[in-house]
This record gives sequence, C-alpha cells and structure tokens, in this order.
Amino acid sequence: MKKILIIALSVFALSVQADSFKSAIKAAETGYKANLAVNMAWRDTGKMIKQAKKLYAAGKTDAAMALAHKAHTQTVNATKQTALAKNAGPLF
Amino acid sequence: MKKTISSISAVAVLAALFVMPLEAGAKEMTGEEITFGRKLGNCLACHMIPGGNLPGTIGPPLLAMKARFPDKAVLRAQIWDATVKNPNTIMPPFGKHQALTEKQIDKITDYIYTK
Amino acid sequence: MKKLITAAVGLSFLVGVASADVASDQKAFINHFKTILPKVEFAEFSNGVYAVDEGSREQFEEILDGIPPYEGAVEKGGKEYLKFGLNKCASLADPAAARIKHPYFDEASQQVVTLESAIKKCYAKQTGKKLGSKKGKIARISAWISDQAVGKKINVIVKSAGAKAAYAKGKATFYAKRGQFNMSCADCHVYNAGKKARADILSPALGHTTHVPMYRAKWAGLGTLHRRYGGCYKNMRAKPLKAQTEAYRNLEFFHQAMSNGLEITDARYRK
Repeated sequence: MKKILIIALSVFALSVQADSFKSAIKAAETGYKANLAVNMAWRDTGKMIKQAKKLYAAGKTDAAMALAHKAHTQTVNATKQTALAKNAGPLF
Repeated sequence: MKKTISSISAVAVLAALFVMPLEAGAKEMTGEEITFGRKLGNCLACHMIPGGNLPGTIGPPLLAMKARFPDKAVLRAQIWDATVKNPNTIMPPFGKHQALTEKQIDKITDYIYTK
Repeated sequence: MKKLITAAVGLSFLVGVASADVASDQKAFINHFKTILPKVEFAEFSNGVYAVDEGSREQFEEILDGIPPYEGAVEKGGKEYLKFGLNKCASLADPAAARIKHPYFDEASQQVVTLESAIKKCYAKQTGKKLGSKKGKIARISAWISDQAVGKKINVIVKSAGAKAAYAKGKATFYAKRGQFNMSCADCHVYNAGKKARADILSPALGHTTHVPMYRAKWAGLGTLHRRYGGCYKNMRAKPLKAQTEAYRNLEFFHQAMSNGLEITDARYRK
C-alpha cells in the first residue's frame, strides 16, 4: 500500500512538474510570438526557448524551468519596450 | 566568420546556463574581470575606468565613486536600471534586462566603488 | 458649432501631418549635428567618422589614394549589371537616375521601393532567379549603380499621405529603443555621434546613406545598408529583421531623407 502511495505521489509530482514547465514555456512562446509580430523581439529569446526544451527533454527540469522563465521575462520586457516605442521621436 | 559567430553565441548560451556553477567553481571571476569583460559588463565600452585600456567616451569617467555615491545602493541601482533616473539614457538596464546576474552586478558595484 | 468642430478637426489633422514633415525634421536633425560637431561642414558628413577624427581621416585618405579594396568588386558589379540584363528594366536603365530616384514611395503598391528591392525585382525578371539582399552580387551591382551617381545629391521625396505614413514608421523605428540593451539607432548615431565606444568612433547618422553599399574592413567585403541594419540590431541584442522587409525599407526611407542634399560618394571604405 505504502509503495503504491509513493509511486502515485511521485507520478503526481512529475506531472505537476510537466504542467508547470509546459505553462512556463508556453508563456515564453506566446510572448515571443507577439514580440516578433511587431518587430520588437530580442536576439536570444528564440534560442533560449529551444534550449529550455532540450534541457527539459534531457530531464534537467530545474535548468529548463529557469531558462523558460528567463525567456518569458525577456518577452515581458520587450513588450514594455513596444509600448514606449510607439511614441519614440527625437529629443531635440 | 560564421564559425566565430556560432562559437560566440555558443559561449553566450553556455555562459548563461552555467553562470552559477562557474561562479561556484574554482575559477571564480573577479569584479575587475566582469567589469572589463567585453561579453559581460563591458563598462569600458562607454566609461573611462582607472586601470582599463581603450575606454569609450560615451558615459562619464568612473572616478571618485565614494564621493559621488555616498550610498553604495544608489550606485548599484544605477547599474541595475539606469532608465529609472533617465528614461532616455543609452546605458543598458543590466539588471532589469538580465544582461548580468545579480551576483555579477554586486561584484561590479564593489569593484567600481573602489575607484 | 459643427463648423467649428470641423475646423478644429481639420487643424489637428494638419498638425499631425506637419509632424511628419521632412524639411522641418531635417532642419532640426542638421541643427543637432551642428551643435555637437560644430567643426564639421555640412557637405563633409558624407565622409562619416572621417569627417570627425583627423587621425582616422589620414588612414582613410591613404586607402583611397591607393587601390581601394572594393574597386575590383564594384567593377565586377558593372559587368554583372549588363550580363544579367539589368539595363533592360526601366527602373534601372539609367543607373545614375536610378540611384537618385530610390528610395521612393510607390503609390500603386503603397510601399517604399529601395534601390536594392528594384535590383532584386529586375534580376528575378531577367534571369528567373532570386538575388540575395546583403552581400555579394547585390552589393556589387548596387555599388556600381551608385558609383554612376557620384556627386549627385540625395533627394528623397515624401509627399503623399501614404509616403508620410511610411516615413513616420521609419522615423519611429529609428528612435525606438529595442533589444536587451535597450538602445535606439539614434542613441549611438545621433546623440552620441563622434564619441568613442572603446576605440571606435560612433558615426553620425547624417550622411550615413551617401556611401552605401559600403566596404567594411570588419566584413572584408561590400555590404548593403540593410546588412548593416541587421548588424546593428544584433549589437543591441535585438532580433534582426530580414533585409528588404517593409520595416527596414521604411527605416531606409527616413534614414536617406535625413541626408537629403548631401552628395553621393564612391568613398565606400569604413572600419
């Protein structure tokens, strides 16, 4: 019984991890797509997303999560730039 | 040329990934190395810093920092995001945009503060 | 009352259009460069950093006095212009006129047509093949065509509402901060032009388009303006756009217009 519980718990934990990685990478991908559409994407975001997926596939979940979050943060900052870019003009 | 570019980006990716293990490893980078490194702070691109070669002239010289920044935290905040004080500044927001890690910014702050 | 509203709306429309006026924009632009680089004559801005720094100027003149490293490539471009029948396209039949005419706003397509986009289109028509946008053949041919217009002045015309909209978009791209480094084209090439980044002098945007395509020592070859745009984006850690995409053509439209009145030069060497 105990064994089954442990197995069930660890399966549950794994699936939670999978869910959180999936949502993190999805957030990064959605943001990146939006940045690309307005020509305001950053240089390394795409590479970071790819790398995060590779790490995840290789079982390096923590590193994958960290990178997915970093990529997502890049897209959030690029979106903030996009808002400012609309009113960009000379300072003189 | 392509090779150089790909090796540079590979290094960048590796650096981004292994900053923590690298810093924890035997070859911990010094504040000076992070400040001067072209792929890291590259502060010399714009600022004259005593002890650094071929400085740029875009930003003010980094001198008498203790007198200019009695509160060290203010200097760190300026490196972390210079756009807070001046939204038009050319200086990259190294912390806000994660161009450097928090630890790297600490080390640069410490190093610059001795100037 | 209604009349008053119409008048007010009309007036605000006029104000909006006025803000995309090339002549007044350029006046302010030139005035800025006069302020930060008071010793440089207007006509000298064709020479970029070599108008700013005397030491670099000497090297530049030595290179031009000898056989410039791009001379053979430009000659080859002239042969290619004929070989691929580019003289048979109306847009390029008179090369000197073609350099002056581009970039222009095409009312039919509501798009900016650059010299390189015209070369690509003509090349495809004549050979059935695609031509690149950054280096090699297109840079050689474009450089040769531009050589035929040496001494003539850049004269970008922005008149229609569509042209003004494209110009305004290009202007916004030029002044917007982008990438992880949060920098705009103007941050380096307007506000800090003439200053040094490490040992490199930042070139003034005024005059940038007088010597394109350029030969860069860094490239060890010729490259188009849009190739350079891509390089600049990468330096700012922004994802470069594809050469000759609408956004870059609009950017070129604004960028070239700011150099209106400057002479086109064949001194293509840059660091």
